[in-house]
Order: sequence, then structure tokens, then C-alpha cells
Amino acid sequence: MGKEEIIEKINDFLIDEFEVEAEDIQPEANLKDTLELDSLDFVDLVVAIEANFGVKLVGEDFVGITTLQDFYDLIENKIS
Amino acid sequence: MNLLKSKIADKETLLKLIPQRDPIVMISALTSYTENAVVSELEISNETLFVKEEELKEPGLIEHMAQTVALYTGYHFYINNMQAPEGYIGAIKGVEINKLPKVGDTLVTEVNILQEIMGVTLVKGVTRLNDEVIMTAQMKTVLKK
Repeated sequence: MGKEEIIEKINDFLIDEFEVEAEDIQPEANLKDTLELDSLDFVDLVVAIEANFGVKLVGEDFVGITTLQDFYDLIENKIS
Repeated sequence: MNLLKSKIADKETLLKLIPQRDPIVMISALTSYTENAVVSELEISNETLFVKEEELKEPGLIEHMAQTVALYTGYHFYINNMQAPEGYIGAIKGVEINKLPKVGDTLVTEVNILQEIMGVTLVKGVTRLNDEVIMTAQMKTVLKK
């Protein structure tokens, strides 16, 4: 799966399942502040990632993940 | 595989597994514990919280399911010689209640752990009365920091 496809899939479920506004989805967007994902959303994020990419995230994976770009990179690294 | 040798119905032991105390204890027994699931029972009496006119109302069913999640976490802590942690319901969705149980009924609730991360537990729960499903819900519980 290419980087573009990963980003597209993540963006799609952020819009569809997490009600994030499309215009807020920018690589530099802060996951918590800009996208307003709270700790309860993170568990859904883990479920969505497992369903879409077949990889399981754990709490430690989120250490240092601040922006959407960080998150894209995390998933890309997990898949590869 | 059920990791319990036998059902735990002794109140003193149960109180070591959950942080709730009377009058809000809504668990009568722990009947099964596996790596990803737990089954509890609740015998409904007139003293059970949220019983009105001989019927356990909706908040009682939800609280019972939430305490079953607490039981899952609490038993895990217990077998690791740690005190049951406090927590709270963070979110509930997809609640379907088909029937309200009555005084004298015994509920059997099975909770399956779908995900646990950063102190948040996402579960799917089913409550049965005489093998009939009376409630289903998805719930997120959060451990108090």
C-alpha cells in the first residue's frame, strides 16, 4: 500500500467516523487540539486502524505523535 | 478458556475486585473470566439500586454492565496483587434494552473486551435474563488517573 493510499484511507475515516471537518485535515494539524480527538476517540482510532490496515497499535505507539503527519508516518512504518 | 476455578459469589471477595461499595454494588457473582471476556451475575432484590415498582430501571442495567467491566479490570489487578482501580463510564453507544427485569430475577452479563489502550477500555456487552437477550451496548470505560 502506497503512502498516498494510506493518507487517503486515514482521512476518509477521520471524516466519516470521527466527524472531523475536511478543511481541518492538514498534515501539520494537531490531533488533539485541531482535530479535537480526545482519549476516548483514540481507542476508536486504534479499532479503525486495525480494521483498515490490519495493524494493532498500543499506547506506546502514540508517544511523540502530535500531528496528523506524525500519525501518517506511524501507520506507514507499522505497515512496512 | 475460563480462568476461574469456580464462581466467585462471596461478597467480601467481590468487594476486592470492584471499587464500588454499597449501596451501589450491582454485581452478585463473577462466573467466568478469560483473557478478553468476563461474565457476571446480578440477583435483583428490592434493595438493588434503581429498582422501582419491582422493576430494575434502565440506569440499573447500564450500571450493572459498567460494573461488569470494572470486574474484568479489577480481577486482572487482583490476581496481580493490586487494588481494584476506580474508573467511570466514558461513553455508551448502541444501547438496546428490550425488557426490564424484575425483583427476583438473575441477570447474566457477558462483556467482551474489544480494545484497551491508554486506560480506556472499549467493550461490547450483552445482558441476558433466562437466556433471553434483554440489553446490548457498546461502552468505553476510563480508569481514574
